[in-house]
Amino acid sequence: MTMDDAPSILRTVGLEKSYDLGRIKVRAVCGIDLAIKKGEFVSIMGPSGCGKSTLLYLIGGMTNPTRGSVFVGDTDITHLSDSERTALRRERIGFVFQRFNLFPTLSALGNVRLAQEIQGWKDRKEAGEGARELLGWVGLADKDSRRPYELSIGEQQRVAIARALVGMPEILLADEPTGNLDTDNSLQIMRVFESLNEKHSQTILMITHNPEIAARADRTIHMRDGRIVDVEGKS
Amino acid sequence: MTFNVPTLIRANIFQRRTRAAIAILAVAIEVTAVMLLVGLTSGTINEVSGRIQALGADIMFRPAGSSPLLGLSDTTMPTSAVDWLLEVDGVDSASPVMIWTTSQVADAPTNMFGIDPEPFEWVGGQLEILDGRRLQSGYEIIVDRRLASTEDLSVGQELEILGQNWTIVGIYRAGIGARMMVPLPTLQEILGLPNKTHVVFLKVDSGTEPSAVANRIGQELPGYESTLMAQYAEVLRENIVGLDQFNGAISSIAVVLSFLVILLAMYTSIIERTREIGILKALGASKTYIMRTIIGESVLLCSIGAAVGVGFAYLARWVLVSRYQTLSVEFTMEWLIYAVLLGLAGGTLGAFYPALRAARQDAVRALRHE
Repeated sequence: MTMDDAPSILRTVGLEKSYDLGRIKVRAVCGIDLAIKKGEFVSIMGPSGCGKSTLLYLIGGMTNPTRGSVFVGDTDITHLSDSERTALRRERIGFVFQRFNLFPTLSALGNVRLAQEIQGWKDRKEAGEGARELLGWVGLADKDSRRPYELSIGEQQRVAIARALVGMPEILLADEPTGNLDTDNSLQIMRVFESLNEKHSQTILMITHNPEIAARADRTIHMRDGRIVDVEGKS
Repeated sequence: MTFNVPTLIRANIFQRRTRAAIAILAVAIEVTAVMLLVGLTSGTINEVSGRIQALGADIMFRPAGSSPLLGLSDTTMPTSAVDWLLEVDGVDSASPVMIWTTSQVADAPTNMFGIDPEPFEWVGGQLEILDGRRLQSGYEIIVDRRLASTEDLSVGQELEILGQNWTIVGIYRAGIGARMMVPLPTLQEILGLPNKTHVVFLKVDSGTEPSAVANRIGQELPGYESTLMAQYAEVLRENIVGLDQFNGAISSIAVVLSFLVILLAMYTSIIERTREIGILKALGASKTYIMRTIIGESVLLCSIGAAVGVGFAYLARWVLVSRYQTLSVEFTMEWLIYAVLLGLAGGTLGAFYPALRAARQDAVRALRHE
């Protein structure tokens, strides 16, 4: 089956999100229709404040839309309760953030194991092996006992990716994962994403400001003022 | 509980050491306060009642309405009551005793018995003289070994009590009656209460049931009260008005204190950790998980605090008893468990609101929190 034949794993229909800021109503996302196929690597570009992160949070079920729907597989997550959306996020979606968002008090291994615990992993041995395997996969097998402040920023982001991959989620949402990284580290992160996408058919939706990074995805969606204004395919 | 909660909790505690130390200290103080307070009251009651029971008398006879807590009541009766009592069937011997409480000898108020040495021994008050001699008359005083040791008293030394100089003529083994004893007529004279007494201790005939004699006394001498010495500790406890309420009030204040400190500590911690809570939510942590993590942290802090509090209580008891040797502090397992549970309860309740607030936080706002 080619990518074109693959079913949509993620779909938004007329998605809108508005915020009330006192007397002002801000429309962060305005009627977005989007479909992402299983195994697709999609990047989103756009100026700051154009609604990219809000779109990502809506897709991840972190917040509810003002209007419209988000489908993960066949499930319209906008009709789910808060705890059901939390469960869906736990089981099917992984998040990677620009600021890494690691727990500073935990080691690299501890951060990954925390995600395992949230997912309900009970077997200590199995969890330990799984966590070390993920850290090995992102090239940090020998640094599993280090705290975030003992790691370079690139290494911290790789720990965050390992944490997001716990349970191998169907969808990986990355909010400017290279935004705080230099070129070398950015390329390393992109290699991890590409490897995930190619070898494991990992569906990835990534926000970036960097056109070169965006160009490495299968498709780039351009946003402005809460709307999709252009879509580019890989040349 | 699964394996990683303790890691996150422990890490949080170690990262915020000052906050953790304050919370632990607050719970420790609560546990120490409750244990010491209850230990001091029950220790004192048991020590006093033990000494009175050690007299060996079977019945304490006193005017109706007077307190069984010796030294707290001014109500007297004529010493001729002794003659009436000796006529009651079953009464073997009777010893009138006057009581005076003074703070002139030790730091804490100390009871002094005015006794008639012979009948006092007949009812069972076998005073074992360790140094010096027995009481005879005049301004003579004998003190028990514990008081003598605490206040560095010795035979031949003079004590000023009630504006008079008393000569210590003997030191007796501690544990019987009061810590000081003087001749009854001398105390009656100084107090301006000749031929009066506060209580009469009675010994019943061998083989006679003290309760039967007490009932008989009640019928023949109305207007007086007879307390069976076997039940003295219980009667004492019942007659200390408001003791339970006082203990309850102090315990409640202690719980509120730990509740508020934990509430504040956990609340500020939640505010500080807003972003971390957002991350947990992004990772799919349920509300239950977040609440369990925060309450678990509080329970761990409170458990450490309770353990430290128990240690503090034992240390404080050692310091108090070393400094004030006449004090008795008794810890019972029941109150130790109660104090620990109070500490845990206060802390758990204090963490509940912050935990609920954290669990209800909006994930996106939490993640954007700087």
